[in-house]
Amino acid sequence: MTTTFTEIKHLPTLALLVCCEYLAIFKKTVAMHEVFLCRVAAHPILRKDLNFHVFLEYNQDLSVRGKNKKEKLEDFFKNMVKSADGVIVSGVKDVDDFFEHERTFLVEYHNRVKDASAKSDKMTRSHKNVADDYNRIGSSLYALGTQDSTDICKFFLKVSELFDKTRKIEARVSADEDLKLSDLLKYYLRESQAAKDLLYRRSRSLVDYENANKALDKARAKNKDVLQAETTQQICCQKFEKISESAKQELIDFKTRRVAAFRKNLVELAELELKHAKGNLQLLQSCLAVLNGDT
Amino acid sequence: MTHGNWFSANYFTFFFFLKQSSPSSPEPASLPAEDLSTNSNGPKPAEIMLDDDREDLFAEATEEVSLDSPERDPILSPEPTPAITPITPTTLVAPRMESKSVTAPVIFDRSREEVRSELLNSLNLFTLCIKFSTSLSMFHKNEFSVKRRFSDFLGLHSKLATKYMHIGYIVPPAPEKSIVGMTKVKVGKEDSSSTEFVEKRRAALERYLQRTVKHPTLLQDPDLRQFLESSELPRAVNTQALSGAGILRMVNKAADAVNKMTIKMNESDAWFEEKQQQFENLDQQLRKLHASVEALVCHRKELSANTAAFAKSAAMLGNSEDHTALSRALSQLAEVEEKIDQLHQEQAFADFYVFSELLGDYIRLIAAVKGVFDHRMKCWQKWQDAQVTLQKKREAEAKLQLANKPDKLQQAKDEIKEWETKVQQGEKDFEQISKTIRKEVGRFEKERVKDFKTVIIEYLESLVQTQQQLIKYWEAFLPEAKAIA
Repeated sequence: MTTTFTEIKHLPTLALLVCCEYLAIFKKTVAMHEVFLCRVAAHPILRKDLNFHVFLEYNQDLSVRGKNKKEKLEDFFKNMVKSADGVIVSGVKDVDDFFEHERTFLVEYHNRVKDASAKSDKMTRSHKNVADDYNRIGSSLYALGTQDSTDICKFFLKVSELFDKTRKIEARVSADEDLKLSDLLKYYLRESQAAKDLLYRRSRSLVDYENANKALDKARAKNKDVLQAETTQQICCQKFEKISESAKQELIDFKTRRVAAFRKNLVELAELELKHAKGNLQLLQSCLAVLNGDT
Repeated sequence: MTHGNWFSANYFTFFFFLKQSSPSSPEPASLPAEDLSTNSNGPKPAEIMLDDDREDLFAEATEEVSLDSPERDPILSPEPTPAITPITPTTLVAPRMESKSVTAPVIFDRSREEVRSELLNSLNLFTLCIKFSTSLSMFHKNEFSVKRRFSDFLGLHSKLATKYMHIGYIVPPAPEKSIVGMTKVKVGKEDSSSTEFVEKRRAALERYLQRTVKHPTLLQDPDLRQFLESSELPRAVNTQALSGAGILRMVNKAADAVNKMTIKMNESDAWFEEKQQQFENLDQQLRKLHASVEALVCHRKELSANTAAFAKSAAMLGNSEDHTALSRALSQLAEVEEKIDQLHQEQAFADFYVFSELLGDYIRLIAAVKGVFDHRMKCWQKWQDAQVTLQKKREAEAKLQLANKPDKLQQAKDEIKEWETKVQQGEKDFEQISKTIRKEVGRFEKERVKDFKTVIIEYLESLVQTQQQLIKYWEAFLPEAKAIA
């Protein structure tokens, strides 16, 4: 049957399709890992961590094992406790303007980046669907071209070729949008969550500090265990001040990194979109020139 | 490649990236462009036999109709145009005095407010205004502007089909009824889906009429002329789906289908067998293509909706971003995406009205072509039946001869004469329909080639426009992104 014949003829495209997809996913994965490692390497404290050095230098298999059931369960409970506690702790108003502002900002930013990330995902998926449709249209036109008995068959074959090529470009557009936009937003979704977690830890330590203060006052009033209360209060105070100091720096860095990452990705996104649109345009125009020349 | 090798390849790649100071992910190796040979593997184009028919007054016009392509007017904007106020001259197809034909009629949608104010019958509020011009002498004016209802179109098609299909002419099919669609419009729903429905129908009717008018034989038909000229048409009652006539039509269709299966024709002419097979293949392929294009329309609309949603979300994100330059860039990104959403909508419009509808039209046209081939089979059957009956009459006469019944004998001889004429007529009809079909198919194929080429080029040009706009938008955005400090 002629239909099977044309399908077989199109097998090379299938292999190319699979190749394209694999490369797109590979590119994406590599980029994500790269960003992660660069971040760690750039961090003043983390870059000195022994684990990191081992990761980079050890020239044999690292034998990393995944979390076992017990560890996963611990994580789960930790998260539960954290969210419950987070609700309580977030009620505490911060005296420090900087942190208060950061908290308000982060909560809103996190929600909006979450929304944008989801919408961007949907958009890139739709783009891919359109590219897939172009592929099917190209195949159908090819079948029409090989079966038609009139002089339109050459025409169909040319248009089929055009659709095959333009599909590749559309698929790249989708992949690049995914890489530069969706992944960026996803990353900052998690980053802003990490920043929120940091703020939570600081608030937690602030609550502990305030509780220690109250305990100290009570101990002094009763004149019982005063020394112990004083030590606890001192420790809490130090902890709080240290975390406040590093948190401030981290949050400032967060902003700087965020701006740089968005700038880089948005510029690259625009450049890639332009490149693909120009490529598409050239394809279409040269095809039209051939078709108009023939008719 | 074993599993282990793949891992080490990854490991190696990560290491390589870390050594660079400003790592950037490499572009994937460019894939070799698919080399599709443009040599057609299909069968050689069959020779199209066109009869030199002197009886056809419009043989010349046929040439001219196919040579000068009547302009296709652009589809009007959704705002309804009242039919009474004269349309600006640019939208009227300019009359060409040298051509011996009718210019492509253009259909405008009448304003719904006007329709309500007039006391038209309430059953069919959907009225259209047809405008066209001509220099043919059989029309009593040069320019026309008439109002027609949807049922009028169906009535016209019904008349033409009854008159011409059974003698081998390919009558273009009319757009289908849609009870759901019409009800929504009648109920007065002003949403986008009912506006879309109205526009879809208007465009379909315009294409239908343009195709019908292009047919040189049909153009001579008095019913068609009346349709184009008269200011008032008698209402076509027999076109309603659930009327007596409608049900009769459905029963006839079913009966026809059964009959077709039982007719076994001895095809003496290979051309017909070949053509039927070709049309069968073409039908299958067009249906597949149509399904793919419909999927494209659907996905493009989804893409448009998702882009719009993303644009809004990006704007919100821009609002909450506290770095001023980045905030501004994000707002601009939102604006760009909003404009791109518009582009997608327009492209989806073109996907549908230019590409998808063409395919739908041709699928229905091929059904009409198949119908014509079926009529030929029925004609053959009638001829064969006449021959069988004649044979029986002859045998009866022979028997009567032997039985010696003079009065019945005369009747038998009369009947033989009658059936001999019928057989002759049957053969003549069969030859005539075969000849007509050959000519019609030749004309159809020419039109098909022209249609597809024109429409596909138009569609590709819509794709070009979209890309050009995209380039504009992203070129405007790029400096904004670079300005983030």
